[in-house]
Amino acid sequence: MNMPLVIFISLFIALAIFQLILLLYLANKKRNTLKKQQHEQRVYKESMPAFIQFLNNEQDDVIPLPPGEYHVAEQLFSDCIAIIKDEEMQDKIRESASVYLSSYYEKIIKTGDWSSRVNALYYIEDFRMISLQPLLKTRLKEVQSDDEEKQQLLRTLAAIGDLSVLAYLENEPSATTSMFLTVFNRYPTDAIPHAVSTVVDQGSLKAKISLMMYFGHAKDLTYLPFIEEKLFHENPEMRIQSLKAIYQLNYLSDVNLLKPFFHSEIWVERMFSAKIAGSLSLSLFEQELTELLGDPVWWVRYYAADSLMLSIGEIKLLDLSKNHPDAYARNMATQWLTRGKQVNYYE
Amino acid sequence: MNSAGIWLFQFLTALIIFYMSFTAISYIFLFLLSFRKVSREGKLDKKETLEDIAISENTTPVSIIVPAYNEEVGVVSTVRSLLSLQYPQYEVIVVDDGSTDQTMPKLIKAYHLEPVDYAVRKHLNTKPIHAVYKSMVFPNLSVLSKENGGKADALNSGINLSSYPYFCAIDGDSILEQDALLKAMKPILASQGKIIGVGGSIRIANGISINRSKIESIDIPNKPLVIMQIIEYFRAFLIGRLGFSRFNQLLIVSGAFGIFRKDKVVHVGGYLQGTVGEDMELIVKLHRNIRDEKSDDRIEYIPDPVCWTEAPESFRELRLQRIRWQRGLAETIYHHKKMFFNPKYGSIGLLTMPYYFFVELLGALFEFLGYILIFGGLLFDFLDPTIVFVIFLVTVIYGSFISSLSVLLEEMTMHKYPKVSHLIKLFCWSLTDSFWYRPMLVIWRLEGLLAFIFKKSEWGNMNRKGISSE
Repeated sequence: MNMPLVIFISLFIALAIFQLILLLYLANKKRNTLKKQQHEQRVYKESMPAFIQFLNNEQDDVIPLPPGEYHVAEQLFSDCIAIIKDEEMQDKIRESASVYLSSYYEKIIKTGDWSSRVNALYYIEDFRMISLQPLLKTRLKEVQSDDEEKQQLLRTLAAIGDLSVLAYLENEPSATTSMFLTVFNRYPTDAIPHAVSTVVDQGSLKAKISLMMYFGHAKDLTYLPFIEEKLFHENPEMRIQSLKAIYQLNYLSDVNLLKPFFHSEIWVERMFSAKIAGSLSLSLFEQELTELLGDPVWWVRYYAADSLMLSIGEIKLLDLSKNHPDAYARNMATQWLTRGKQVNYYE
Repeated sequence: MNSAGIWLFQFLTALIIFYMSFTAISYIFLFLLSFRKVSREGKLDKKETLEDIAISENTTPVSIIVPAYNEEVGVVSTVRSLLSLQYPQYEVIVVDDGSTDQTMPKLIKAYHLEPVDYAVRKHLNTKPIHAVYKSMVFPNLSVLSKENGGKADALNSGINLSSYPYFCAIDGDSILEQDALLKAMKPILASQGKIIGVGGSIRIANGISINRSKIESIDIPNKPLVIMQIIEYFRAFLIGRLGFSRFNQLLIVSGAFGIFRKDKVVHVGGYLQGTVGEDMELIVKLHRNIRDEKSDDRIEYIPDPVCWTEAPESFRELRLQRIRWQRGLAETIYHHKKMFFNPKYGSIGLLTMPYYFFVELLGALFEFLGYILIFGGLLFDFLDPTIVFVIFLVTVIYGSFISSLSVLLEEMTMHKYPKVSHLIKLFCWSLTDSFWYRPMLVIWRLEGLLAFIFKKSEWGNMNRKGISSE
């Protein structure tokens, strides 16, 4: 038999054997996975009533779960947290998670593969497992690449109220405003005043802009003076975020603060001034809104029309749809009169 | 045969062997690239990874654009599936590209549409708009009725009407899984806008059971032609696209499901009209712009988000589809020929574009030449029948070997097919690939190349049964 023939036959046999092994491996893996899923579903089904009973019984301190059923426990605890809104019960679920899963997660964070570590971090966050805080901080120091594990470590630490996360982000050149915002959004209520004072006193511009975004989301008027003060900040992004926060808070201590923004060179500022005028029903800005209806930017015209409708009324918009000197303004007014689609500008 | 003839025969044989070996090695290389990513991320808890963006009011909203031309069978169920997506804020824009069937009346009736005056922005030039309709039931649904101008024109019109910074293009006959938008947007959001385009996985809906636009059960269909397409899609997406995506070399995002940053698409002029490969052309154009502007933007393929689409069940329809695809590929490569071996475009110009040209476009020609040489060689006694037979066996087993590796990747990522019997069925059918399916595709791809020379623009619709029961 010649050489090429031998090579091809060997190649054929090798590929055939490999494929057979692969098929057997996949079939076996699939079978085992299905078996495991069925087992976990059964344990979950059996444990759920007992666990609900356990939550309702103050004296009971033995978690009704067979040992080693970590995936079932994760599912059970997180489902219960999602369904049960009673705070005391939520605390008991988190305590149970801490008792049942702490050492399992500790082992994963120390020795598990990447995806297992990230999965564990998601659940540690859900269950607010404060006992693992030192381990997480150590892990954060070790993590090199800026991937999902690092992001989730920061989120998890923020969820358990760790303020050192802010200092960590300040020292990270790659940290973004949305990362700061994610951290603020996760801080427990009692950690927020400390976080705010840290950022207000020593925070970078990036952190302060994020804080402004957070104030808007939180809809808490406590920090209104700080937000209004930043309306005249030299940085345009800071001014825009202050305007956005005011729009979300739906409150302004002095409406005259809004005046300069109707004539701003930055279209987003003009747009927010129109939005705020509409949401606060400020009819005194009728002239400014009429001008903005003919603005070169579509979104500014859009919100000027919206605000005219809200603060002045349909008759005014009808008049502008016929008599405004700008054709685009007339178009926009007509759109709003015929129930044009209502969507929100997203920056 | 004279000595020149023998020399030519030997040269061509060597060329084909070199080509086949190169292709075989490139698939293994792409598989290894994909395997590394999949083995790292395949076990991530998908539900937990999405929890954050699913409820955050900070999640960037998306405009979903559905171009539709004579899609009366599937469009209502496609829109229904889109209206029940898990995503904090999005709008659905159906663009009726001058359909001549019941597409528009069906939409008007199903979603209580009423015409509205709408001040449409003109980011991109398109054919005239007849009317804009709003649903009186679903505030986030709009339908744009326009003069027929082709799929690219329909998509550009949808972009003009869209309100949000990202848009998702989806075919009018496809069903998105409920969390597909979340999964596709997650990397975009994490990248802070650096990912400007994302393609998800396309799966074949024939054989799955969809009721009122929700997937109820997944099965392997009985038709061999459809089974072979399932295997082919595994290979194309999980080996090809995932591998290229790892190095920001992805040149195709399927028109059936892709998400893009609107300002970037508008900047490059939107979808190119007058081509059947508008989806690929857009990606190449975006890559070209990335290199021109020396930006670090990326275009990625994400395996998790799944879009189910109806595959052709007849030879005739499959043939037309493949001719169209091949023509689209040829048009795109021709249109961007300046990138070819151009160092200015880095690895895209020096490696990926030539790869698509030689392997994806001219591959059919090489393979066809291979078949001729084999038959000619046997006929004129140039080749030893035993060697030919063994090489043929190796080709068969190699083809199914690559298919089985893609099944492995599927099992590691999405494991959509729930039964062991599904795996065995896919494996067994993959063994038949080289006997009938592949030679057939070779012929059709060659026809596509010819169609490129004799251009003719059309939507290329197939007879649809619809994939969702009402």
